[in-house]
Amino acid sequence: MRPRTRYVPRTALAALALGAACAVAAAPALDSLERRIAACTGCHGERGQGGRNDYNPRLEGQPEGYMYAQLKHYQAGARAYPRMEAMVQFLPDAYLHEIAQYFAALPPSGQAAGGVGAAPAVLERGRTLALRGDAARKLDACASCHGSELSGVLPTSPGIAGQPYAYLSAQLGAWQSGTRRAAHPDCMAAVAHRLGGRDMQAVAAWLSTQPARAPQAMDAATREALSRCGNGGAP
Amino acid sequence: MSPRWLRGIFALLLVAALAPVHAADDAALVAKGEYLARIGDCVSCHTARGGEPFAGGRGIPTPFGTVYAPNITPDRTHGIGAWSADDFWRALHEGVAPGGVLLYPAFPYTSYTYVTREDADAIYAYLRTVQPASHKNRENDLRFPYSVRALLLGWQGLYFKPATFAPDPRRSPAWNRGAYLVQGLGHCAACHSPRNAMGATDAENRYAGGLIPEQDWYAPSLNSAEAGLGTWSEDEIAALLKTGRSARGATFGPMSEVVFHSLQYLTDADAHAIATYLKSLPQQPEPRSARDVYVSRSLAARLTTRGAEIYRKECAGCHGDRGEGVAGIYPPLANNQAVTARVPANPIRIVMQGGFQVATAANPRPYSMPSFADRMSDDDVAAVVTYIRASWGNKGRAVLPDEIKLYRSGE
Ligand code: HEC
Ligand code: HEC
Ligand code: HEC
Repeated sequence: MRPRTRYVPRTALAALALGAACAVAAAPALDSLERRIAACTGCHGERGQGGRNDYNPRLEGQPEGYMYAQLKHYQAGARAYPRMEAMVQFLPDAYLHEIAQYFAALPPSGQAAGGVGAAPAVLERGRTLALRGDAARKLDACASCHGSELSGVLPTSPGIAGQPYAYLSAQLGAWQSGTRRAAHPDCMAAVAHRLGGRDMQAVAAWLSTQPARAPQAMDAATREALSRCGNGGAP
Repeated sequence: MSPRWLRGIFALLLVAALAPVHAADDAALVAKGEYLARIGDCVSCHTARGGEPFAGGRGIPTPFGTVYAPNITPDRTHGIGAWSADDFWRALHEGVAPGGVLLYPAFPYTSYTYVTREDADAIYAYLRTVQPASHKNRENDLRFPYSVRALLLGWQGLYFKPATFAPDPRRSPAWNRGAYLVQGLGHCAACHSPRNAMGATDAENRYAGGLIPEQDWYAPSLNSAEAGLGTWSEDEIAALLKTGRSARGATFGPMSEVVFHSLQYLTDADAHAIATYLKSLPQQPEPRSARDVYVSRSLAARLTTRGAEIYRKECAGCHGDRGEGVAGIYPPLANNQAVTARVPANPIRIVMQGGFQVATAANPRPYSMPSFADRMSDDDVAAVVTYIRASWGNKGRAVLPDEIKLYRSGE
């Protein structure tokens, strides 16, 4: 009788301690940025890996400068998506910087968004356009500005590899129709116009099968490519 | 030395001697005007998103179409730089612009009419110091016949009379200050009162709560016996106005905007004065609403059971098992009018769109609530909203899945 009563509480205690440790590991402290920005992670994933809705992009590892600029665009109504516009409407710049930094510092998963089951020929077409472009149509490769791994270039070129197909094609469509805009000359608008519907789908499909990696550092070739865009390619 | 020359010197000396005094007076007047303009929230309507302050261009949606707030910077061509102080006073007090142009009541002169001439002059002085912007005014986009300005003569005749604020000598100075701010610059009635078919608020139902036209946010009653501010303490009301949060709930939607641009700048004395006045409003029952629906008991019970499950899984982690919230972080849902108001627009919209608390000087890194629109069906939203409206002592009516559609389409 006695040894057992002594034994039981001890395992119970150990289990409790273990439980508590797990709980702490699973839930960040109440006074943490993670807890404050539950609205962001609710849609963009716990680790910023992208949401349950294919229109919600992944944010992990995205260059901070790019992220911050987008948040400011939503605030000013320069980038249109009512739910995001409402989210950031009454937040100060310092906090937006902090949030942008937070996601920029998260390591990308190295995973793809999963693709959409496009035919191999379509994927091959997308790959060629993304990596080599199409000189005949004066179409630069996506890689010339978004990095050879298409995972972005610091400080302001976003990673596009590993984004969901629905998100990428919606953005290309928005550049084409002018609902998303950048400073003149607007490189992305030109790209979207030259690509056209079919090729947009092909590029988006291929990119969504590619792994998301960390953005690379700026190099001379990328700087030269970006310098042809309005505002030096800043988003 | 010609006498003219002498007079010139004399005048110069005089100006030099008086200038510092004038400058100090002017600076004080402009500072006062800046404060009052903040409490009037002029910047919010008169600034387009991402646009220059006071340069106009923001559309105010009404059931009759959109009225665009004009440029009120001192630009002489596009703004009000050529207006006299009298012109400005008439706009605020009478709703009439120079040349006898009648103004649409989307500009809340029905409240600003209570502003004193002295305060209007201070705001005028301040507005003359803001950066002039050459932003051209945008034509209103109103349906016929509302597009005919002259018809406002009839509207003003029926629903508006220029008025002055009459202090009540039996009340404290704080009460009178609060009454003046609430009725006048604060234009609280513009949102917190029901509007009739012609878009007018009537004095009888003032502060009884109103659905904001075209935005589908409900500004709850400030004076109802069950749901008003009667059981709030003055400190709680003042905290909500200045910081966007209180032990009783947090602001969201249009009220967050008012806090962000306007009320967070209230002095402590003015915030308490407003609270004193609001708490003294005669208590009235919450009026009926066109959005009232009947929900059978059995359906309400089914919704509540399902809602309890969803609440435990999705909401209790932040708002607590008993809707108690976490002080200063997550608002309580128990005994919270934002949850139980007669028109359930707000809890439905909040659950669907989530959002950040408004950032204020007191709360620069606010907490947020995730959006549930993508992961919950209309049935589930109706269930969880019904549950929080009917738990922990809350007594709000059940919400039908069909009602959720109404708000989802606006998303
Ligand atoms: C709720 C939105 C709103 C708020 C708040 C608001 N205004 Fe306006 N204001 C308008 C709209 C809309 C008009 C245009 C009405 C019209 O076209 O008839 C207007 C018109 C005016 C005009 C007439 C300008 C002209 O060119 O005819 C003046 C002056 C003015 N507002 C000053 C102010 C001041 C000062 C404040 C703050 C104390 C203020 N407004 C707050 C919406 C607003
Ligand atoms: C991650 C934490 C979190 C979760 C989970 C959460 N909320 Fe909230 N909720 C908040 C915060 C923070 C606010 C304040 C938002 C604001 O001020 O705009 C809030 C506000 C509200 C409000 C308005 C109350 C007020 O006074 O502002 C309601 C109603 C509400 N939540 C209901 C729910 C329901 C129902 C669920 C579950 C389906 C839920 N919440 C899940 C954090 C959360
Ligand atoms: C632009 C419209 C608008 C104006 C102007 C406005 N309010 Fe509100 N107010 C709302 C809405 C919508 C809500 C409901 C959302 C919330 O609770 O934050 C609200 C909520 C409130 C609440 C919380 C009520 C509760 O029971 O939770 C108080 C208190 C309040 N307002 C006071 C005021 C006062 C005082 C003024 C004037 C100085 C004012 N409001 C002006 C729209 C407005």
